[in-house]
Amino acid sequence: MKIAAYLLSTLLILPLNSFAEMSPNDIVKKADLKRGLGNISHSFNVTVSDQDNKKEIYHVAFKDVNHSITEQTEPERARGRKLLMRDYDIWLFTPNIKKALRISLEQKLTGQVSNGDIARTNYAEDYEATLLPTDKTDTSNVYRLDLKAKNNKVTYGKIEYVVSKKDYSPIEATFFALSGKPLKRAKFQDFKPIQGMSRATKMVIQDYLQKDKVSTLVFSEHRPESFSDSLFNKERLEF
Amino acid sequence: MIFKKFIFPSILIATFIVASTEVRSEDWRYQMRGNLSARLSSYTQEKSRNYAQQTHAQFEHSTEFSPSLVAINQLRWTSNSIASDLSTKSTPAKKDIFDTYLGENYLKYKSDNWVVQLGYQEVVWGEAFGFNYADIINPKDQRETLYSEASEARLPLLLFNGKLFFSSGDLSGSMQLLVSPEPRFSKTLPVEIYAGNLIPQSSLTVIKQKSPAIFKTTEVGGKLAASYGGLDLSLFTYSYLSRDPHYSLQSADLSNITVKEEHQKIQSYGLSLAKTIYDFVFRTDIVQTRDRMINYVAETGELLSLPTTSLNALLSLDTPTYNDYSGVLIFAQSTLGEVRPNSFRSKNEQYVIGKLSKNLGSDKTLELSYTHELEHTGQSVQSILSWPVNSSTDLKIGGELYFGDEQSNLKKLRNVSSIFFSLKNYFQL
Repeated sequence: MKIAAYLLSTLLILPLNSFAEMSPNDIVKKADLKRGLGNISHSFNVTVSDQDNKKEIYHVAFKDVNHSITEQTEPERARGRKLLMRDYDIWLFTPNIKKALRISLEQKLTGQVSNGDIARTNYAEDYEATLLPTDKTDTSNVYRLDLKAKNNKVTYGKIEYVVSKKDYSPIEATFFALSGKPLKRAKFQDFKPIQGMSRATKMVIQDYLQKDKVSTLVFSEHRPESFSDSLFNKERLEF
Repeated sequence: MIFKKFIFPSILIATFIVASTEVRSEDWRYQMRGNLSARLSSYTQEKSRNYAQQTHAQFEHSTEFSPSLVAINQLRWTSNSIASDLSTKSTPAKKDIFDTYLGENYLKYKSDNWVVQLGYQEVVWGEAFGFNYADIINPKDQRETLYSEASEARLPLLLFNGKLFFSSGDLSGSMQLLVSPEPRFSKTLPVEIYAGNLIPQSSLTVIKQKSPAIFKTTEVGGKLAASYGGLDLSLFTYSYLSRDPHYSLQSADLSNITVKEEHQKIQSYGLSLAKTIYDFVFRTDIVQTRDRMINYVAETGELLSLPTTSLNALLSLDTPTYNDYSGVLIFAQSTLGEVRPNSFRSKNEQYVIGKLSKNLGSDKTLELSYTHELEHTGQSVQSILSWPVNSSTDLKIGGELYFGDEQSNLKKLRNVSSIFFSLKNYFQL
């Protein structure tokens, strides 16, 4: 009787999807959760350094996938620079210009980092995924996914995404422009337990052609936090 | 009078002192920061005035009493030799400028749905940058704009600044009310820059008009702004004393002319738009101003002025970044409703501006800018290499050249054609 109860409980706690084939989009959703807290309201810091060890620090207020504010805190020359993301609209406020200006997602924030790399990182929201065919001799334990932009407002036209089969951890991504030109490659590293789940805390972005151009993003201090809707208003950035 | 002039700065400085000393609370947060910059130019046009200097300093103290209540106090210092470098006449004011003044000094209170700021502030409207017709609120130090960023030339204005935010679904926006009880005027370049060859006398005396005492004249305006579906739209109006002067003749003889500055009440109405299409950003600012006074020299030789309406419009297009290159294309036009012969300004001023920026890596950028003046053909070419040498210091090396027909506005600036070198240091204490 005890054995029967044990077997039954084991069956119940096993995730149902371990018996079913995961859809490519579900794989991407699971991988997204390994790169952030998902679509819950929270804040975190991002430290960006380049190949010359120049360092920039940003504080991100993330309400949901469509509402975030990124504020630069270092270096001193750029302190107070803010980036507001609302759906696919993005505005930049700089203290010397004294007003928020509409910009495009694709514009470079710093080094190899585009605005969308920090402000809009849930790939499942913006891209339609398909599994790339793998060679039968391919014994690597990874999913290879082709992510195509759902519309032309997103940061990239296409992403080739490599995700671990074992725990859906993102491993590598190659980003392409809408024209199909490869732009850069990113590696996801330093998985650490954050808010009850192992998540990547480091993203290394390398220019696709000029391999010596590298930007490293380190994510830290994730904490759940609620934000008022009125905070995500272009007209409020100057305050 | 003196008491009235300094009443608000005194209140704000008292707030700063109180915040910094007597009733310092453990919960309050303080920050002292600032920047120092110096620029050395070597003129390429006239050997007699071979070098010019420009220096700036700003010290800022912020006190956060609570997440809702913040005080900002700034002190600024500037010096430059641009006015004397540009002047072609002998004027008593032809000397280098050294100014120490209070920058932004205000109290800010913000709640979820509204913000109020009271004190000396800078408020910028419009969607364009680099050439901003809608930047009408604050006076400017126009002795500097040829050289420096608009942010360094903007002068703070005493304002009640209230903003109410709204949001509904995909629509978000704000309503803003501005009231200034103490108008201030721009600091202008020598009058002969605008008058060209219309003033034949070899020396010129300008009697400045003092800005009105506090509460003698009130300026009022507001802005309604909304963002929806990838479009930003704002409508605004401001009733104010003209920031730029017109001149009335006081006396004249064969060698000297004395004129007096005057500023009259004007009203501006404007519309700004910005729209993203693919990775391009379109911007436009349109501003109509009524009752602007434009000087002209009558057939009798008298210096007179005429009230007219001006319509300024700007269209710009930001290109996406491609292979580390990005660009901006701007068309700007300023039209006066009516002008008389021998006017200090043309009826139409049109400019086409192209800017190309190349990211050289490690935040180094090379910017090339070409401005073409259409009505009277004039050209300007500028290039700047920006180099952040470390986390707190920026180096800039560049050059600018102005040329064209004698009547063109850009040719009037030929004396500032130069190569330059500048350093700017940012600090936090």
